[in-house]
Parts: sequence; structure tokens; C-alpha cells
Amino acid sequence: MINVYTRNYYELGCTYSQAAAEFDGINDYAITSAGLLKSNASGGDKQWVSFWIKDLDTSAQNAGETMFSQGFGGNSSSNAWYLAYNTRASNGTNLNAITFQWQSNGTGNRVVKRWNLFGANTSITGATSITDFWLANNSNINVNVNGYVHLLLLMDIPQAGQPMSTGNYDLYWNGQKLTLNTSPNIEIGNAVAQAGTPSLALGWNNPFNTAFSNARIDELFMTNSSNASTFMSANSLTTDQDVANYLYNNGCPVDVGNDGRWSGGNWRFENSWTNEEGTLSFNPINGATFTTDHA
Amino acid sequence: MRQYTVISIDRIDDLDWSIVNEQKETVRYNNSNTAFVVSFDAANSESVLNLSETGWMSLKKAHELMNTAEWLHEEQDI
Repeated sequence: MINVYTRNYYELGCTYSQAAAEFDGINDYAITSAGLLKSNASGGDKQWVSFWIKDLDTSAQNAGETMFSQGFGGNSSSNAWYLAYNTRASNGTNLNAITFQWQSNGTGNRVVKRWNLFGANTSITGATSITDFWLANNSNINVNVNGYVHLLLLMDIPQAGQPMSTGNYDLYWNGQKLTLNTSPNIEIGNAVAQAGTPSLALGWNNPFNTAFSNARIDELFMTNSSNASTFMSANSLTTDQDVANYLYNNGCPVDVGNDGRWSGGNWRFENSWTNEEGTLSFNPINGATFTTDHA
Repeated sequence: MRQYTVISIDRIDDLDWSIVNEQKETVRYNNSNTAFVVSFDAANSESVLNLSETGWMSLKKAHELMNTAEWLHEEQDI
């Protein structure tokens, strides 16, 4: 008899994913014709962005590396969202932090959150100091068996017209919630209902027209306002930490199921830029491609 | 192997865009809008590099160039 109950099968590697999207950090990106995140007029709700990412940079850059953005091309003042890793600011100041910004309507109505990878978050990320950057050649950084980090931006988005401060914005690194910086920690003005059709972009900050990312991104799973609670109920997930644990899945991408209730926000990048629902595709620009170096 | 080079904007219509990875509409320009960066496979290097004054760059060298003031975009407004 073979007892398999105590075996850690991830020692054999993560095999659910077989391919990932790749961006060169020079000019590659991928963009859709529609976005998912928004503040709703009918009420606040939970929304998230979950993905696996491998940083390919081998030296610190004086620019952010955008992991995802949503908004209108070159228009940073109208419902512009992004999540980026900053090794340094453009003036060369060391940061070693992940920054989230949602600029709902100009700088007077926005949220800015930043999480240092070091200090209080060293035990989670592995980064030991402000110069111990998340780079491809830094073995201190806590990654999965394939060199990827799982990030989950988990938000309670305020109802349109309500103060930004009534929302909540957390970032989980490999299933663990990062400690938020005290500065910058901006929640000013109100959430504004989105007008028009924004684009989702990977590898580039579309609304701010900046910050290309040299990285591989895999298993993107986003919710919109209506399906986060549906997904949680269907999988018996009660708390935010439950969601983080489920999606991190002990270090390997999880099969969230090709279910029409939420597969419109699931891009697996298995040599395809189209979501699992088959309704929304990324358009690869300037050479963005696929790689078998998956999460 | 993917190679990179910088071409003057004066030559933008001389480039055969079918042999580079970029599109004319989405190519990245420097901050003074005098030059743009393209990437290409080594097999197409001669045709592309005929338009370049800098020669080809590896991805690492291209990153170094993009990290200079001439190409670096301003940080997002925080």
C-alpha cells in the first residue's frame, strides 16, 4: 500500500499552468477593449485582481514596473488604476515597494497605497532591506517552485459618490497580507462612476503612459462587481484570507473552474490571449508573447 | 535572439515594419520625440540596422538605455 496523504506533491513542480505571458520591459504590453474594475452606483462591493508574476529584471530601474493597469489611454485623471513594483523612483531614490493607485477623478479623488517589500514585510517577501530588490537574480525573494510570486489585490470598492476612505485595499504576497506603509497612504475625495469603456493592460501603465514591465505574468483572475461574492459562495470562502489562501493554493496556480459566473475575468495565457469565457481578449503589442516558463 | 536598436524619427517611413516586432502606431519614442526603439530577430538585422546609427543592442543594453533621462518616463503622480 502507498500512503500519499502526507506527500507534498508540489515538490514535483506546479503543472496546472503550462505557459505564461512575457513582456520585455522596453515596449511590450497587452491590452483589451474593456475593463472589469469599477465603482458601482448601486452599492459598494468586493473586487480583486489575482495573478502570478516573475520579475525578469536583473538590475534596479528608475521607473515603476506596471503589473496591470486599467483606464483610458493617456488619460490619468479619469478612473485610472494601476499596480506597479518600484525599485526606485525616477529621481533614483530607492523604494523597493509595490504601489497601487486608483485615480477616480483627478488627484482630488483618488486612493494611493504602498507596501514596502522590506521591514515589516521581510518575513513575507524575503527582501531584507530597501536595496534588497525583487530581481530575477535575488535568491532572497520568496517565490514558488517555478520562481513566481502570487499577488492578490483585494479591494472593497466604495459605492459611486461615496468617500474613497470607505473602501479597503489590501495586497497579499503568496497568500499573506502585506503591512501597508503609513506614507503615502492617500484616500481623498469620492469614488466616481465610470463613464465610457476603459482598457485593461498588462506590462504597461496605459492611462499614465509609462512604466513598462520586464516580467512574465500567468493565471490572471479578476472579478468585477457582481461575481466576487458568487465565487466566494461557490467555493465556501468566507473571509478575505480565505480568498487569498484559495488562490495562492500553497504555492501553485489553482484551477478556478471554467464557470460562466466568473470565467470572464480569467485569463490563463495557455498560448491564448482570450479569457476562459471566450469573450474578451488581450491584444499583444510590440512583441508581447508567450513562454513555457509558467507559474 | 531578439535584438533592439534605435532609429531616428526621420527614417520612420523607411523602415519595413513587417520585419520588426513593433507597429508604427504603438512604437515607443524617446522623450524628445526624435527617435524610436524597435526589436527584431537576428535574421532581419541587416535591413533594420541599415537605418540605425547605434547598432544593435541586447535586451540588457536596451534596458540600460531606457533607464536614461532621454527615455525614462516621469514617475506616476503620487
